[in-house]
Amino acid sequence: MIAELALALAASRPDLERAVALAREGRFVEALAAAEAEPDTVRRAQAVFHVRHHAGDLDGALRTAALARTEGATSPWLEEREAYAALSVRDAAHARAALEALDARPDRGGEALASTARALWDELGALERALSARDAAARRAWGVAAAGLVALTVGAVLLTLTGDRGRRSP
Amino acid sequence: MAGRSSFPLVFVAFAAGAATMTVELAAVRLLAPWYGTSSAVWTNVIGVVLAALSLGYLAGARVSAAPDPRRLLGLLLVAAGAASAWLPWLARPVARLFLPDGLTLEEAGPALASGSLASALLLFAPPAFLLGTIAPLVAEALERGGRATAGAATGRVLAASTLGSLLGTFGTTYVFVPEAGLSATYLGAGAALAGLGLPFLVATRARAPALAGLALVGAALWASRTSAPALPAGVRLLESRETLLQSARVVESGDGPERMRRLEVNESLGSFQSVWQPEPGPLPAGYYYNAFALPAWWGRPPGAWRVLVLGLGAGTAWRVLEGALPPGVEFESTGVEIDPGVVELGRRWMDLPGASRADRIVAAGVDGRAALRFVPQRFDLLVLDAYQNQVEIPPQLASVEFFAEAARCLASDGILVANVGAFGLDDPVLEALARTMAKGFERRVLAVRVPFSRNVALFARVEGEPPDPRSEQFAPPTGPLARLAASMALDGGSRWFEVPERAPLDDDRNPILSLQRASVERAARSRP
Repeated sequence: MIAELALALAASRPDLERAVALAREGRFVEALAAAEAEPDTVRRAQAVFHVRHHAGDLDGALRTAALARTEGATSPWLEEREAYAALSVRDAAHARAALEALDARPDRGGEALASTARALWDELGALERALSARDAAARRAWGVAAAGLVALTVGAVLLTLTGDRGRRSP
Repeated sequence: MAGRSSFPLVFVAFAAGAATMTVELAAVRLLAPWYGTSSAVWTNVIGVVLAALSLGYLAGARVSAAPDPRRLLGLLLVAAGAASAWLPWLARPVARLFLPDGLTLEEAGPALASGSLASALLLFAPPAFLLGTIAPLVAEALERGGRATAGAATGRVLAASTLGSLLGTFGTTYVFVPEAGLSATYLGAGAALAGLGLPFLVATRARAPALAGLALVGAALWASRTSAPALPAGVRLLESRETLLQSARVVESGDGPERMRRLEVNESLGSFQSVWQPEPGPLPAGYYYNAFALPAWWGRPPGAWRVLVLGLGAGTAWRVLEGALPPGVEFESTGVEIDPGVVELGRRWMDLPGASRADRIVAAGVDGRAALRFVPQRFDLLVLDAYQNQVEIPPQLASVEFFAEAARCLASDGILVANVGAFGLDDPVLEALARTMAKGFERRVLAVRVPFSRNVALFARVEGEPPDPRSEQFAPPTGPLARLAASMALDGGSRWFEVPERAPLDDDRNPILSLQRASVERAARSRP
């Protein structure tokens, strides 16, 4: 919410202000049109991200932020929001890219953003550890499965080939 | 030739057959809290049990040459009993070896098949192997005791074992697991096997193995219980139970008006089957149920709506509709839910109306496809929200024949709305379903992304077509549904599917399950 307020306060152009206000009212189509009319590329990316994020189009918001980052039309605020949205859909790679971009800035976006970024790094760490544990568990599972199936097969072959002991009941 | 004295041995074969099926059928339920009950899990469990049984038959044949097969029979029965009785306790640590905590259903996907195979090998191969050794030993004992020729002994053992398997099959599914629970089922099977083995050990003076076996099974009776995966912080368990079809539990989080209850089944992993909040009406953003109420705003005159819900669960669709319809519009509804246990949990914890409400009829224990043949009236709205095994759309509810039958159940201005889990509007599952629906209705179908979720709502109309999301007709004038509709109107938020020449899915050829695997793999590939 602080970030939204910051965005709203930072909005010095009518299109951005209008987009934020319309999104708050739930008039997303008009809000997106206003956002896309913003002439400044960085502010346009921020506004489009904001509208799509509020409308629940998380994939669209993330695409917007990633494109802005690729084109150099991003901002610390957008990178922090991008990481937040990426983590909310559990997209670790996307979140990492955004946080690394934020970290690479000389001032890391200022103290307020740096503090939020630290929390996001922690969250990302937990997600990456969970995914890494999953991959290790899957490797372990395939190993156990392969060993078990080989053991069953070898056991069956040995029992078949060796036959019985030739006992005869009295 | 076989006299009365052959009965105990033949009964052992019968009991081993019953225990084998109990171990196998309850195995999937034991793994369900971690891996679910998908086709892959069933296949892995059945494959492992068959392989272990086969090896057991060979091993039993091999050791049947022992001087006294009755002693071995006793030992193996007690060992099989102990191995079965400890399964409830062992399930959790073994499953956690292959499926760590903290994953969502989507993330866990790649580990479910391998994990369930490895877990099945470690858990169920030992008892299945031991149970496989029983039949050859019984046949040998019968033949050696002069009670039957080799052929007659084999025939009797096979017949008794198969009859036992029948008892194990029906008993486990319909009586033991739903009535007694998983722990009691395995403990009962284990105690019965050990109890059958003890007389053989006593008769052959094998006291030490008898005592060891008794101790192991006794300890299991005292300590071996199933334990579910840990709940996340702030989540309270209200009730859990084994229903006829799945492991189900109701959990609650939050307090006061923010309180939410979720009905979760099997592995769950963050997903839910039904959801409840104190007040009826739209749920918070991200819940697809809200989309079910949109058609009521599309220009139908006030009056009682007739609504059919296939996949009622614990009644979430009804709760949402009750508070989200236009002023003055009431609805009467029939809800179809395949799992009666879910209905009972819904009535206890989620305000699902009881049998006394004439305007809320619950058809429990009925498949949605079969229900279409028995519903007596034409409905204004058909809500399709049916999943099996958490993520699988039942093929019989995803065919062109089904959608054609659904269209016939609707009134002339009736609408079908279906919930589909999909990774975007170009998801292969969504494309196949939407085109199939369009062919069944012979009308264009509208797909709209549900905001803040991985769900898509599909709309089809018997006559005409649903309003375009960008049109004024699509959105209610105010309230939470207006906001939902507005977000659906964004570019990239919806897609129309034309009527294809041939439906991708029909009753004869229905690759919906492989499409779902492709969908998950595609989503995983898109994230390095």
